[in-house]
Amino acid sequence: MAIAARRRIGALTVNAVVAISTAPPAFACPVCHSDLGEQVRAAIFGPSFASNLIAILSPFAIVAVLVCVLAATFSSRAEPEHR
Amino acid sequence: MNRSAATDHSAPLIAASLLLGIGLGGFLDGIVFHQILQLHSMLSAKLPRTSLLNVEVNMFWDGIFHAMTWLATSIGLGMLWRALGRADVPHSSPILVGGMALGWGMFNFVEGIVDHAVLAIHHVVEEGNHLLWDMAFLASGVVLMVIGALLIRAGLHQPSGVMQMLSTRH
Repeated sequence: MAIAARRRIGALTVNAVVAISTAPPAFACPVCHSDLGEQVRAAIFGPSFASNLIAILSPFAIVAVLVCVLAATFSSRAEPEHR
Repeated sequence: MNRSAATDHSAPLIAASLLLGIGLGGFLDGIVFHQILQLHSMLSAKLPRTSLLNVEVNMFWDGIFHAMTWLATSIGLGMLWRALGRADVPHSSPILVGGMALGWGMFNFVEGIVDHAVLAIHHVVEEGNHLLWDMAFLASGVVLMVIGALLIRAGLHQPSGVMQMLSTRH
């Protein structure tokens, strides 16, 4: 029974090592030199790059304006107290 | 000299705490939703996270989002450091916490309107009834803004011993 279990574990280990060593690497990062890496680069820096960038940055820009407005409002409220 | 101290020069503290709230709220969103729950990625309505390619592209734009939240946090920290160095700025915890809640709520609300509703580049969840989750996200923004505004108001009206201490020190 113990020998059978050991053989099974051994076989599983060999299979795992073979599977890991022969698996094709994904290499999917935007700076990776692979087919998938090139596809990722193309998808990021394609025709929709500018519109995506604007879409993602626009909430930050709007909130930055709101912060400036609020800070200016509180500053102007404080001014009369100095007079 | 019986005025509420925090009304004097609280604007630098409020501005710093708003930016900190935007940054830290954005980080929480990114860590909890984007990474742990793997929802709410920046382009997940345009590029569903159903292939490695789409996951990678979403990850890139999530990174741009995190870069902006890092920038907001860094600027907020710098402004807070400068504000705390000024003797006339009240060291008020309610204003700091309230400003952070207000900033976080403002960001959730604006992001919810712009990205979820107007541009529809992503939703909180893409499957099923995303409108319900998007509305809950907007509601969280409103709740945070109300809590923040109330805390700032309380901070502005509380008598501050700190200001009196500082005014007698100089």
